[in-house]
Amino acid sequence: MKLRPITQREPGIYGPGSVALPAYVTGILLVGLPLIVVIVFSFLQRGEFGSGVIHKFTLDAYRTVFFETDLMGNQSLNFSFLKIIFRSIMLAFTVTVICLIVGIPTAIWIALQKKSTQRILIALVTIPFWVNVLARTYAWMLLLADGGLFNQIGAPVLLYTSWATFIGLTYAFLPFMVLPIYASAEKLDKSILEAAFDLGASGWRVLIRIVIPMIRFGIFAGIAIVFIPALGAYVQPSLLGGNKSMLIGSLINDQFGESRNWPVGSALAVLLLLMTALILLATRRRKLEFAS
Amino acid sequence: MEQEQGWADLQINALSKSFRDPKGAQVHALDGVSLSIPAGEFIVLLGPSGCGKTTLLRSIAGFEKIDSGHINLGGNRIDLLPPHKRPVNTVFQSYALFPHMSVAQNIAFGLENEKIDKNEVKARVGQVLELVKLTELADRKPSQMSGGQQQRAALARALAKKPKVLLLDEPLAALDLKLRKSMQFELKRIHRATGTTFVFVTHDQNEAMALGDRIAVFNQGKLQQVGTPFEIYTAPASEFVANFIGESTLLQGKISGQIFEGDGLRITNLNQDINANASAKLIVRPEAFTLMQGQTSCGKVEIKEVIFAGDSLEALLVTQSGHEVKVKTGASLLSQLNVGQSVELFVDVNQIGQIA
Repeated sequence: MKLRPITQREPGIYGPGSVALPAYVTGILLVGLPLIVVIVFSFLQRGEFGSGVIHKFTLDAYRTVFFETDLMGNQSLNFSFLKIIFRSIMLAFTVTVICLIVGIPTAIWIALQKKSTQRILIALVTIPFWVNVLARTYAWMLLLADGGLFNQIGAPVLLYTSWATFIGLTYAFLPFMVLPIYASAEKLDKSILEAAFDLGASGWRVLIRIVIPMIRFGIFAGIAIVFIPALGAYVQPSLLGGNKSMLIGSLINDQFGESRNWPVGSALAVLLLLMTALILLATRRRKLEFAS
Repeated sequence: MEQEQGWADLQINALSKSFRDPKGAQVHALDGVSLSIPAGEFIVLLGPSGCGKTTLLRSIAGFEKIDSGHINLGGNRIDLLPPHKRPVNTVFQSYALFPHMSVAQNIAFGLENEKIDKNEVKARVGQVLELVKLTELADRKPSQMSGGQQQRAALARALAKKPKVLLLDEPLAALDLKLRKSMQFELKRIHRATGTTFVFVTHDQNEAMALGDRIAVFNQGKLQQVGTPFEIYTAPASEFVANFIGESTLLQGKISGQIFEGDGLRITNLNQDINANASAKLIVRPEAFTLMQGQTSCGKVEIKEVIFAGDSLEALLVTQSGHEVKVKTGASLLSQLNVGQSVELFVDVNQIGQIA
């Protein structure tokens, strides 16, 4: 589960027409082509009745995202989109931090157990993947609703509050944080921890100075695969949070649904993609700095 | 360091530890081990794998919980303290250097855990780096160094803490022969320079001989014998020790009137310290036997195998009763010895040991 750039490429093994061919086909068909469609759509005109597009180049979609036109026809910067972006980033950031706080100790604790116990615990962590995320979110709706289990044991009704969104997102993404951190913690040489204690370090110092720096690649990987999907999260904010405050994921969904503006939806998706790419680049650069 | 002598003696008292192996059987890793190590000594814990020597080392460090007995250091009981509170430090077999820190940072880590002034930390890092001759590599990461250099770094890191006892867990096992030899000299030099007690674990008898002021031989969780390398080699206390340290031939028979008879051999003029016994066991090192004239004769033997070892000949002989005898003899006899030939065997009676 290590997300490290492949530094040495041997064309004979990894190039097209080799054993990697299925990967290329999958990548092109399922990632490349849809991506191209989205990028192209974002530069086209809205379809006549809202659905689809008219094949004519225009920057209207981006103009709609960034500017608003008042009744007099004057254009001014539109801050509502930026607000939504900001809100989405804050949500994804908070969820990532909660997942880190819960995930790091959990992963380290699992890695310190006996091998047989480790296998059982990791299987338990992955159990939620067996059930569709939508079904699991509906289950949370029942738990958090008025008269639901949490309400019955004294908790306030959390459904359709941003608390419900946080709970749902943390629940959904926690395994993605635990697994890569566990993968690197599991490789930790136990004698290195013993050496740290032997040199007089307290448990806390061993954690901060030795363990966390040594599992940092797992932590970076965990941050990337939690933060990025959390940024575009749609299911939990709409079902659990009641869509009370607009997020970028819901906004994009609306453009293809109720608002019937595919080019604007595509433009928003392209912007989200750019942001994600920037974040990834930033973390990758940090990784390389650490590695050298 | 002179004034520290005496109050940093390490006393190991009736230490026992057992655990269950994967099949559920009880294994005694340590079985009532008592050992007294005076301050400043270089003691080697020697034995085959699984004999308890590493368990003993880890018990002193605090990584193993002991079932019974206690460990005192300079009169203070330390076996109840957690590892990070014990005034001992370990050099691990795998070196266990922190991969994300430079050599200097690795060494400083241990000092930063104490409340030591920053300049003092820097000075002490410089001192130990000089001691192990790594000053130039202070800013290297462990991955950028050879095995021997990592070994020195691990040694420096442990010594920087000025431990009362330095524990070394087979630290040379991963090095090649040549490097191992030169590190043995380095360890002796560093031991002399620091005056610290060294407790060194190994399964390599030659290394034990080369390094130890004393050697403690372990087998199956029990301490077999403690003594200087000379004592252990020349007067092994048991058949196990005799076989584990160097090669030897065991002769079983009857001793009376300073004459041994048994296993097809007859040895006269035995030393006074060999006791009369109807079922005696004698230990003879290969170099105590010879095929050259001049020593006490033992009888006729047949040559089964001859190996030329450069400075000597190693021969496997069979007595008339079929008992095998190992001999190390002068290389000059090479041309005169043939397999199957019958020759006379001689022995130096001063080098014969007796075991109970």
